[in-house]
Amino acid sequence: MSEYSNNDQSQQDELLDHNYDGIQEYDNPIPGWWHLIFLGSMIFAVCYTVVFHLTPIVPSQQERWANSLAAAEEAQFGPLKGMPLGQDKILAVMGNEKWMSAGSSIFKGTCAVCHGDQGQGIEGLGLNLTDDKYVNINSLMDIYNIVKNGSPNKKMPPQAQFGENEIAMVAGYVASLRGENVPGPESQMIGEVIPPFPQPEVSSESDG
Amino acid sequence: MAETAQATADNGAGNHQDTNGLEAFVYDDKIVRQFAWATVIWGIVAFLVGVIIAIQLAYPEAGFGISFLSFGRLRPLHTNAAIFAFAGNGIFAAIYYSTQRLCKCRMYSDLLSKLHFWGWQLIIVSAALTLPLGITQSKEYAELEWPIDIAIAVVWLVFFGGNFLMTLIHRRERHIYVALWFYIATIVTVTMLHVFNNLWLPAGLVYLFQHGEMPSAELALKSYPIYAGVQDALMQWWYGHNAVAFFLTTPFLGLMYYYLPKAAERPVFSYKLSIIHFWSLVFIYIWAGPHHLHYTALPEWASTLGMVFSVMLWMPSWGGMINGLLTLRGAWDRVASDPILKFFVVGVTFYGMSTFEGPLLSVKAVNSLSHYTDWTIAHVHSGTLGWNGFMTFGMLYWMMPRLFQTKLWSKKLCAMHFWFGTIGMVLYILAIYSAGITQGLMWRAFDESGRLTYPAFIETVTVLLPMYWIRVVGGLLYLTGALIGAYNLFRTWKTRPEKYEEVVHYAPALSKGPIVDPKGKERLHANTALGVAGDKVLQGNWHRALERKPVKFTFWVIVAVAIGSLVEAIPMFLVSSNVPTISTVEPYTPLELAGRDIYVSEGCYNCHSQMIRPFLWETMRYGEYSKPGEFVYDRPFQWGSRRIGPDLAREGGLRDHNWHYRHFKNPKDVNDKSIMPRYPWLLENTINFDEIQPRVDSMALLGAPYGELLLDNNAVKHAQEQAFDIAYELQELGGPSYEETMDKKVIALIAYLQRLGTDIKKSEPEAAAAGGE
Repeated sequence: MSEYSNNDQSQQDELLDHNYDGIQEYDNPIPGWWHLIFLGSMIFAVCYTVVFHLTPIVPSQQERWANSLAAAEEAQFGPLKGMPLGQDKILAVMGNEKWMSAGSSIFKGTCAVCHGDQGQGIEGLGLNLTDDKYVNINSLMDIYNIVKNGSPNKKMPPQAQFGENEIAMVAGYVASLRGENVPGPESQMIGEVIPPFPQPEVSSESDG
Repeated sequence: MAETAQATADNGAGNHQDTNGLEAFVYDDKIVRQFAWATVIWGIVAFLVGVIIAIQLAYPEAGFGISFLSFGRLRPLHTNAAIFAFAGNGIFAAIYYSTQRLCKCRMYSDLLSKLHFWGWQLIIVSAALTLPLGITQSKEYAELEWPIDIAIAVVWLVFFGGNFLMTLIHRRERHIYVALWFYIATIVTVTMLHVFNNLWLPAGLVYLFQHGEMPSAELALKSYPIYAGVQDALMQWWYGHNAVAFFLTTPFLGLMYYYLPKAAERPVFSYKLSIIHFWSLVFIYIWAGPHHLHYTALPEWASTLGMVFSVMLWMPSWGGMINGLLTLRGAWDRVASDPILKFFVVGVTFYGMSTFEGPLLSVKAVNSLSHYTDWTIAHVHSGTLGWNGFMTFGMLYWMMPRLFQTKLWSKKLCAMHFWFGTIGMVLYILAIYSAGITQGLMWRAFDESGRLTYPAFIETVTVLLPMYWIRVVGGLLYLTGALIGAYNLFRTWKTRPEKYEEVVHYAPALSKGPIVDPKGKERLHANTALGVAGDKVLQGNWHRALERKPVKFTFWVIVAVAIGSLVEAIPMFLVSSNVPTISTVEPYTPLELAGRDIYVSEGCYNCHSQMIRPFLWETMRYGEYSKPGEFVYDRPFQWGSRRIGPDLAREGGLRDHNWHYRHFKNPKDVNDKSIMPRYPWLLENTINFDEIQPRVDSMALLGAPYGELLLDNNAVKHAQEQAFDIAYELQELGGPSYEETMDKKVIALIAYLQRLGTDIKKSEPEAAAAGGE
């Protein structure tokens, strides 16, 4: 009755007596490992649901985020958190390699969109931040305030997504760009030459 | 074949040995030939569009700044063509051929078959016309606008489903074979998914009923979903995931159960496995959708359901792979020499790989890395190119020579197609897996200062470009393979006889009596205690009995797929704690709404997400994570599924209008490494202000509190004022004069972008003061 040639394996198999357009089916058992993994996946499903939702063992994903945020802020800002806002805070940033690196990361992620990846400025958008000319800026705190509140002519929007420490870090980094004189569009090198920014004390300490 | 029918008739119940009791019938092979050719042609179109958009990702100028060639519009065309045109026609060809033979009868109605074929091709053509024009609902794989949705429902359910079910009812084979179970599941579930994900309010029709006029053709086709935000997302991915399940999996499993044993000339490995993997697959698959929304604003319980059911889906999926591969026992020697079997082996193997990877990606921890990256794209393509593509090619190579009543023209070219396809897709997926994992790791990398190592999004894009070029090469190879295949099938067709022979088959009419398995419960030879217990259940005659009752069978399939759907959807709509209200979130202004509709129309969601997940690396890059209450006026939701560009959920206020204006004009002006295409037409085309009131009216009908703006064309006035304000600010910021820009589409789009994600930052009095703004 079977139209198939038998071989060693199929001799152990039992054919069912149905025939669909020439297709037949064996009555083979389902592999044991299939049952075991299927059952295992069900047990996993129940355990996961119980542990993550029906017991307080694992906090919600939002709580886990909040916890990681607190730890990360401590690691990032450390003593910077306690410092009162002012020029000294920005100077502290400028004297700390790690905080300057953080400032550089913030700059590249946000400011570079308009000011160019090295602060060289983009035609019609952000100004060159690497020369000695500035608009609306005479002090380190002016940098801080412009990042926080935007520029008076509204060309630069306020960066409200950042907290005080982050703005201090990016302000310190922006101040450090001065004097790099990265070539950029002429039109973005405007403003007035201002006196040099104060420099942090840390570098002189390490010299001595 | 006539002999087979005769032989089977003789094997059946003894009372039909008299040939006079036999009924004569002829199969309708013409309709199968039509579907088969449509598969070949649309397949090439789908692959070609895929190659074009792959080139655009590596080299954006390949869009030439032309609206209907832009990535955002062509990508939906690619996915729709691959799924509904190529795979769709492929499964119709497979179903029409195999169903007739498995039921021993002609399709119930030739007219319905023809209406199905031509109706479906018309739907595809209308998709190919509307999507490049930006006429879209923007829900992935459900982009087609409402009139086409209605056509799909009619063609699918009435022409195709009706014809199929009536054929089952009029069959001459007592039991329905496992392939047909999968076809039943396909038809009923796709209908359910399609209908419930496409409940939309047509904005143009609403206006027509209210005012007796239609402002524009564009508005006539525009619609807003009855669901918003979180609920819309849940419905979409319930649909989207199960489009994969019930359009790209179940019909292809049915195809496998017919064509693989046919081509291998071997019996199917295990009937018991067929039963258990069919029912477990159908029941479990429908729950898995929310795994597309892990860590989003979707409530965590729904996300967990999506994950655990996806994990449980692993073995039901592998049941199909085992039954496919083990059916080849005793035929492996032929696999080496027969390219058709090679297609099937690779196809089923890719099915096994994808259905292992699926559960893996659904695990939340893995998904946190893979989501929004190319990993998903690689996963999808190993499924579609490997499983759907290769099963379809194997089926066509086996079936088309038989349909043409001739032999395949060249076995060598067939083998060549196999190798081009295999090497092409391996190149594709390896490159794109690397791209996905690379980008995922870069997004989450922190440096020693505790900040992002790659803060500029563009850094995580440019690094992928070499991989994107490899993808182009892989795609070209796959396309070349398909072209070789088309040529081979064309030459095969040329050798057909002058007139096709109409083979008459004979079979007795359906007998009503049951078949009792004489050996019954003796055959309990499972190899674990659990297996024996399972066997006892399957050994009973209950399933055999069900196989004789197609309508009852269909009913139980509906029950199986309805349970998961209802358990997930009902709480999401009825329990308000799932979407806590945020009092400062207000409807979009009329101009912002118009801008949002442009965002939808341009397909921005194809490259930009609007969903920040609660991870440190996301909130540091994009700002506060997204809350469910922020999306209550989002129709349709625009969370996206892939970040080829950065997330835009908190884009509002980050940059000035001039930046956006110049960026749309040419992204390279502001970022020379950008791979975003230019949108010059947005700077030229004007906003149709006549359409704004109808858009606002429709949103109000769906529950957005627009108040005064609904009266007296106030929405239009408001939109014009806001457009003037933005155009004027743009001029002040150094942009072109406001007279030039104030009626251009780009202004509406900027208005929308500047609003994105800002409501949550407003304090209460500020929101109240803003009023209608």
